[in-house]
Amino acid sequence: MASVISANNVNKSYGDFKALNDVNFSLDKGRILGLIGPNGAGKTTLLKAVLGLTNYSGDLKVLGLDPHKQRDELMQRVCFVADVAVLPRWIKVSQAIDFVEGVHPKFNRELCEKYLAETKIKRDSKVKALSKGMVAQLHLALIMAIDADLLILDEPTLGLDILYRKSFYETLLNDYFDSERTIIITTHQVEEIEHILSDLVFIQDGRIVLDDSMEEVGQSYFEVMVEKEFEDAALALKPINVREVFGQKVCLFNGVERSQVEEFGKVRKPSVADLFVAKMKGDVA
Amino acid sequence: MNTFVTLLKREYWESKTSFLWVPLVITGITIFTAVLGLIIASTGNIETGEFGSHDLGSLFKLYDVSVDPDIKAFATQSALYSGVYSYYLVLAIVGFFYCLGSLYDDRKDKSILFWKSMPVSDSQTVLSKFVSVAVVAPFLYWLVIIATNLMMLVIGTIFAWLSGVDAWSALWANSGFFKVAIYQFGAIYMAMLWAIPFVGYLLLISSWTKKVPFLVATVPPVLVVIAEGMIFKTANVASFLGEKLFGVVQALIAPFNSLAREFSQKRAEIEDDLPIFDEFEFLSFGQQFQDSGFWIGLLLGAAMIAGAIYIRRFRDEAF
Repeated sequence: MASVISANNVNKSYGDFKALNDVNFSLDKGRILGLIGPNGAGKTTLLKAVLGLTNYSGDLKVLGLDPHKQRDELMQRVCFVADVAVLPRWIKVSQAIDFVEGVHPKFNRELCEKYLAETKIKRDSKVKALSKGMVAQLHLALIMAIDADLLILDEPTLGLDILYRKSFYETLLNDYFDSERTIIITTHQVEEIEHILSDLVFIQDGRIVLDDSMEEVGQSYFEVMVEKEFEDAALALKPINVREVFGQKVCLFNGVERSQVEEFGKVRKPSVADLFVAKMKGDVA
Repeated sequence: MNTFVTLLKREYWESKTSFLWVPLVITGITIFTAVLGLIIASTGNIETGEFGSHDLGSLFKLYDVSVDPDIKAFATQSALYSGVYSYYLVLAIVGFFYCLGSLYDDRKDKSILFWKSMPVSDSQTVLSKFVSVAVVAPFLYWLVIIATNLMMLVIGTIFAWLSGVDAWSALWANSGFFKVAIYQFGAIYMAMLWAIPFVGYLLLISSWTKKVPFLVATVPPVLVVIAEGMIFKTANVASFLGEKLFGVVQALIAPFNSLAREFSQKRAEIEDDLPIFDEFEFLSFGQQFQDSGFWIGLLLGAAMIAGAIYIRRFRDEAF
């Protein structure tokens, strides 16, 4: 069983609005998937379906389980941070740790204490007395101390400063992640997670518009700083996006050979953010 | 099992004020009032019709030497027992708001997403709330009640010493301390059993409503009662609700009833002309268990709790 998630024709409607429209994708064990999409594209709905928090039509299996019907079993192996600052305001830090220790057989208290030691969070503070960033730190410390097969992070670093975000992703990659674990991350700060991702899924209007590994992305998408004299030739190859940087056209190609575009100018791998913008614009047009 | 204990702890942490501090505050007020009352009453003489004017200490002495033990027993025990009424009333109010908030507040502040990220089934969650309000909270209140009983006896003892009264014969010998504690225990839990349909209803509303659970829980029953009265000129709903509420009251009064019966039987042995005092309308616990309305209430309560679990588990947008 290598497939952690497999989705076949998953649909979800709210009245007339199709939040998920024939979603198909699969994710293997030991991958880190970035799920990227504009607001309201269906990211959260998809994650909710995966976590058994909402019903849907179609076939969806997470760790071989039906998330809606077998949610209790699934939650033994899956952990998630749905949105930061959802920790209850009345709870004390020490109580939150005791609670997770009491209900989660795979919680490692020492590890949680280790993560918390890097913060300024006091054990006897209540959540409502913590700053927004500290609440997020606490939540992440609690969740990261759980030995889960699948970890889902929905905007995990919202409200955190850049120093903590950096160290969080480093910890996630170096200490937490291993070949037995799978992680799904959504975030608006794509550039910060780009280097840790192994897979990329773009979602727009409830549809998956891109589902590739990062290697595949690197092999099939090229961004070229086109020299002035090759502009027409470059445009003739129908780049999926063209933007201008210092008067020079930067074209993003898909489905062309690298050798075809190499003569136009400097070729490089597009950033996820640029690819995202191109994809979103392309599908609108 | 560990999970469930943790869930109960969680409820206790969240509701420590209502479950522990509120009854302790009532105790504080009770003790304060008792002590203050004794001090004020001790400053002057008290007019009595039969024995003339005396200070409180002398009257206490008079009570100790002249009153029969069974009267002392009835007086002390019913005084101690009566504490259960006010504490239960407060428990009912606290429990009402606890139930209404228990499956709603975490949806409102979205912390439900944190609870739901843990391997805890929704049945466990809802049942932990039910057990907290129906078992844990009454038990804590009961502990506070018997502690209060003890403190009242201690205050009485100190007053007896100051007045030169034998505290043992005046108070302790007939206090029935443990009997009263057991009666109060029985009363609180019997009343809780009668209240289960209300608990179930409130949990269901709390799990279901999207806003203001208080209004959603209270307005429709009132409207139904009014509409039924106006349209059908009947009051079946009101009498059904009244019957359950009366059950709660009955459960609280039944032990007092048996105290009174014991007392009247003893008096009847001494004074032949006294009729045995068991003409109360109130049912004993045994009779209450045979009441069909009681069991219907339990079943309805259980069904509504199951409904609360179902909604918590399967509602599409649980938050």
